[in-house]
Amino acid sequence: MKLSREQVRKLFVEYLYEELPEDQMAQIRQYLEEDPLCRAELEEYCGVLNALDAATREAPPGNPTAGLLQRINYELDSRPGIYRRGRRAQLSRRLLALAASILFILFSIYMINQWYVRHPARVPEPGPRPGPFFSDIGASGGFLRYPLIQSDDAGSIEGFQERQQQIQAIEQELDGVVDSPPSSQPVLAHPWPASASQD
Amino acid sequence: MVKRSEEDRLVELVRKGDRKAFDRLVLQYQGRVYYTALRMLHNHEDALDASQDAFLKVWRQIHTLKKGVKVYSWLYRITVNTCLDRLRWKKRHQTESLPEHDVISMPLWNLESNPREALREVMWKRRVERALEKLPPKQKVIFVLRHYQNLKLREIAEILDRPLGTIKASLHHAVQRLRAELPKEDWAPARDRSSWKARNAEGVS
Repeated sequence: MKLSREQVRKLFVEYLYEELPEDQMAQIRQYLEEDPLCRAELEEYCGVLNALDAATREAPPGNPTAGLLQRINYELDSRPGIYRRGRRAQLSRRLLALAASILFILFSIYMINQWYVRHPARVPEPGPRPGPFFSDIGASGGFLRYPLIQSDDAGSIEGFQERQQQIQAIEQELDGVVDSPPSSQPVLAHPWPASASQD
Repeated sequence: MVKRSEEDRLVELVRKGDRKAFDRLVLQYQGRVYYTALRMLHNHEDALDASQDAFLKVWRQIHTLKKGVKVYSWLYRITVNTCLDRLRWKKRHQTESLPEHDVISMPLWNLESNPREALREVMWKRRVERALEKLPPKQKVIFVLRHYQNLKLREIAEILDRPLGTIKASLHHAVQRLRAELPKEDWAPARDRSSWKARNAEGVS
């Protein structure tokens, strides 16, 4: 099979590094003899590799790795705990990391809660107000109470007492409604109007 | 090159915690590890630190080395990952290093040579280093392992755990990029590749 120029160009690098099977190498060699343009391009690649090679193959002066072994041994001797080996050590390191993460998360939650307790004015307006029955739960403190409170000072003792008084007043009002005599209006036995029931 | 059986025995001893065997392993591979790191990081101190980190990881994780896996390929993988971590860290912290004098030796004090020629050579080498530095890290890894460590593409694919096709394509892109980066006057088109091959045959640094 005859190779096209594009195919040969794609194989330049592998050809230069001699990473192709021998039959393919021979095919490319043959192709290059017939295509001077392609050969010139390959020579460019070769020139680049030559330049890179010549420029960077030099080593730093002296023995650059002198002292590396001493550094490693010093590190191993000075911090044996860190370089403990084996699956057990690995597992314990992972468990330690997990415990540290959990502690960090719990501490963060606690700190956020504390921040909300100390900065109530910065708390955004709560959503729709729930009924008075729930308001006394808000006295527990922390950011969890904010959706339940009725007033800005609901967290304080005064606010709590005020809410209690409000609740008592509402309850008394309700008691009055229940205890009062029935009005002259007849109570409907069913929600439909009388004309509808006649039909 | 160490024989496979000898290498296995060495690994077995290190696995058991033999520090002398570990020292031998370090001495045996420190050159390869250091030069790989140097080509990746372009700085002697960083390369030494990366080599140290790589060997400490070897000591700590030798029990994870599966039987049948070549030590050097595992070691290369650790070195490459350590270097990539360092490059990422450097990129995040954007530390500007002082001009390098260690990767590129400066022959300016050599009075026997023509100072102008010497300066030109230094500038040229610096341009080459810059071009290498500009390569994306993954392409650079592949180029360094193929060009400087003389590893076969198949071995690189094994080390980096990537398909062979990806490695070939990356190497191709890396060389093309270097060709575009370097001014044409820096590299005279070679008549043949014998000079490059001859140097390449000398083996790795």
